Amino acid sequence: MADAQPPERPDLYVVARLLERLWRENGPMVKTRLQVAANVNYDVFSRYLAWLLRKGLVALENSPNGHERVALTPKGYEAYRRLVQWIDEVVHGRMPGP
Amino acid sequence: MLALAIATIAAIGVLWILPLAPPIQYLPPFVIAVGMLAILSLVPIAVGQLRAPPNTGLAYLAYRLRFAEFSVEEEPGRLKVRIGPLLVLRFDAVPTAEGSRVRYRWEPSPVGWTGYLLVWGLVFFLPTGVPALLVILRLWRFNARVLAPIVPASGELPSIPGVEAVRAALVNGLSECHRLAREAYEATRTRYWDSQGIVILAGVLATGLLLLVSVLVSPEPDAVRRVLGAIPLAVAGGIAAAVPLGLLVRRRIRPRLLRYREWADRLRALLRREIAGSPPQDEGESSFEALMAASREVPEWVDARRRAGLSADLGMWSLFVIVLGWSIELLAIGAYQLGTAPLVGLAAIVGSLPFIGALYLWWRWWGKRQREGATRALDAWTARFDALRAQMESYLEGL
Repeated sequence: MADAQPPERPDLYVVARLLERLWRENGPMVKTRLQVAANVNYDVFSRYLAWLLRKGLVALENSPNGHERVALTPKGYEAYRRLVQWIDEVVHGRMPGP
Repeated sequence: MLALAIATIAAIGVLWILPLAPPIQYLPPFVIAVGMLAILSLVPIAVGQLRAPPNTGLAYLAYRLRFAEFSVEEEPGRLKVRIGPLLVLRFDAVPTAEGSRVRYRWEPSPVGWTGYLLVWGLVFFLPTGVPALLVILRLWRFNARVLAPIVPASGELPSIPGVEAVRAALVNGLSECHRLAREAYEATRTRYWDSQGIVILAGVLATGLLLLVSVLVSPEPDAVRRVLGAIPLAVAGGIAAAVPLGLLVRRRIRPRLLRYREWADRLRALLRREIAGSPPQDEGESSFEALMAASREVPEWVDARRRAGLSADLGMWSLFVIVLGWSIELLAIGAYQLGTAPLVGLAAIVGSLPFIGALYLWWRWWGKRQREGATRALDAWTARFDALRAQMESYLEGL
């Protein structure tokens, strides 16, 4: 799956949805569950997962039962925090900070 | 303060019971009740001493109040918090040697003012002291149940754990969007009923006009019979004019009203989920996406508040109602005098027309000013949202 071609211009909403779901889980998630939670098909999920892995926003872990799981990295957490922080600033009528 | 309220209500009761002439008997309780509310709204109520600069203290308070599901509006150096549908609290913080002293003043919300004035006007003197006591009891309960647990006695602000940074931002954003959506809904609801009120007024005016024309053109020599014969036609004409207009208003405003309510409910549900920190559900809606979608709607919500009609602007609305009242009174006097003194009646009716015309022009001018303001706000918001989206995409690409 990690060999899938990452999207050239990733959709902000899909990236944010995946990061949010992992943040909300507060721990690694089995890939198929993450795909269902992100509401995208397998092909799209594979491409976005490849993109997230390449950027270091998520990492893959092997679980004892053989299922591969996806975990949010500190960089992924920070990316999601920033996105939320910016939108929070905008809805409060401020320009998003750096 | 409770003692002051009880003393005031006791004074009102004593003055009310005393066997004085009605104007003397009723005036003091009236003045005391109004004065009491005015004084109470001017007295700052202390929240506590915080070991933090004023802005930090207020930001902490805003954060905690949002988590307690209160609607918080941040203004420079101040917070506006709505507690229930009737009361608004304005918090500020005064710098002190140790940090800051937080306090608030209360004021009725527009709905609260309307309610109070209605109680006053309809039931007159009976409950004059009751609103003040109700306000005090509400504030006392808010202090005890909400503020006391979140304002630390030591004044030291507790640190927010890092893991909560995302949740805090989500709660902040969702709470703000929910406030804007709810205010847009309330403003549109006000506009809807204002418009229906104007439709009813138009129906009454049409009835009056038809009555006048029918009475003037009727060949019946007896004045009473002329009026009685004209009434059914005039009433039917008034209804025929008002009903289509009422339906038109409903068709134009109601869909927007329902949409705003749907948004407010959706954001409230998400806000509650974030506040509760509910366990994740795979089919649950993404808060981030809802926030992005909501922020696209914000200009319309802000615009809805501006277009709420005159009744959303309390000062202008009061003046409008007073002048409108005079005009209608003049019109009614004119209509009443037509039978006995036609010249005086006609003069009164003609005299009321410039007032009605001026009110119409005033209303148009006010609406135009509101629309211009809304256009400027919408342009600024669109630019800000586009900049946000570009910044987010560029950030993700540059990672």
